[in-house]
Amino acid sequence: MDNKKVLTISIVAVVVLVIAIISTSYATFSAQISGEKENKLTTGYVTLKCDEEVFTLNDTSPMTDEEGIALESNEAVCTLSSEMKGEMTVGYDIALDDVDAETPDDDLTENDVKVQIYKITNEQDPAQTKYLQGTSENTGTYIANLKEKSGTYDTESVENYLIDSDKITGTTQVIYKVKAWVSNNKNGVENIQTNSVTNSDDGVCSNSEYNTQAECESAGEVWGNSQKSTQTGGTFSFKLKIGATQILEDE
Amino acid sequence: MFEEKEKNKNRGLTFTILGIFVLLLTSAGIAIAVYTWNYTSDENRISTGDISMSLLESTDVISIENALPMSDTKGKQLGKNESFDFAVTTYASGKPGDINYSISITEDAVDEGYTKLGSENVKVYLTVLPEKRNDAYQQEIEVVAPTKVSEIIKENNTGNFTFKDEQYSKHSHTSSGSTITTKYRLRMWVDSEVDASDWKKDSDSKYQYKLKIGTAGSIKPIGVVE
Repeated sequence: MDNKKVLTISIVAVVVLVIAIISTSYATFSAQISGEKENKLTTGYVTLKCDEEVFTLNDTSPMTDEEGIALESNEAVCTLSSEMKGEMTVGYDIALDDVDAETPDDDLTENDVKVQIYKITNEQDPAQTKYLQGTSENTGTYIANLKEKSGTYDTESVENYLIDSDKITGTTQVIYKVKAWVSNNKNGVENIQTNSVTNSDDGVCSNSEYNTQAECESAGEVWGNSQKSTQTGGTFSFKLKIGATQILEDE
Repeated sequence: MFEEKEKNKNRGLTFTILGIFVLLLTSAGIAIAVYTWNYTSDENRISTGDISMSLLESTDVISIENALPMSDTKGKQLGKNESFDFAVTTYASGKPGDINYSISITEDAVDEGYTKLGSENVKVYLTVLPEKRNDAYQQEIEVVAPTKVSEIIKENNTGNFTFKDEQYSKHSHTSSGSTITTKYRLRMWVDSEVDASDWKKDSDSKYQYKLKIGTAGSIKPIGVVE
């Protein structure tokens, strides 16, 4: 019985010793090594902006394409510029927005207003000016013709009145210009006599200061019947809108 | 035992594939959201104003009975009862610039029992009346010298004869809400060159010529920027 106790204690002691030796051995061989090469990631940036010029053209009159294009101060401009640190391709859609939103029920609508649209990628080289949406150097198109044209890259916010879709990368600049005028084919007519509501008044003096025939004629004015033709005015407005989104390489 | 191991292996593979797929979708979603840009400009505005044109015709019309050929000198002196006054008035709420207008003559059908006198036999003379009777310059200003109706420019397709004159067919509206009136006087007579020898008292043919005045306007396109 004593011998068994001694044996058991001896075995336990040996096991404890072995474990202690092994632990000591592992402690002896452990090591830590730190590398010297630094790995880092610094973010770049992408900035897009539109320097705009808007116009207000009051009391204008219906005119031909040639006259509208020659007109000054009827041009909306967006100088779209990008600045990128890093590589990215951005697709963008540029369109008219809030078209005739302010006075949709008056006499001036998208069927009366024409635009000439073009973009300039190199101001030093006029040959690189590109006319858009069926317009040319000498002709415009009715804004109504743009209504069904939607965006390519930002289809959610550019659903109609598209001017252009393109990609932009790096640091560059594109100038968009939209000239607008009231077409002389407004309502299919060209002058105020036929494009009008005529009313007639009897007993009128050519000078409204005089109310009787005697007063009128003695003042050297003309007394008689008057036929009047009127062309009522209207207001049309629009904004420029851009929707842009990154294009991934695998797209 | 072997079947259970295989089952666990397949389950692990499925989860791995699903995990990679979800990771790819998440990455793509984040990448699309990384850069978007939207911009809307200020408003561009274009407007037209109200424009009107009136033709005021005098109640006194030309009604010449027993007309015979006369010289231009005498024809130009025909009095108020042998002339026709009318006025063209234009109004613009804004400043559209020049409203150009034309004055035209339309031949009218003669009364029953008459034969129409040819337009080459009738002369017309158009003047502008002074702005006010007490103006220092009281004279009528000649717009169209005595001219045979047939020699006045004929408009395309309308059948009208149209007076065209730069000076008196333009109203310049350079201030907002302006009204401009020009008063005219028209005279007409039988040209002195007409052979009236066949016009007899008992002639079966009685001649007559009737005309009306018309006007049409258009706008010289300019825009006023404010």
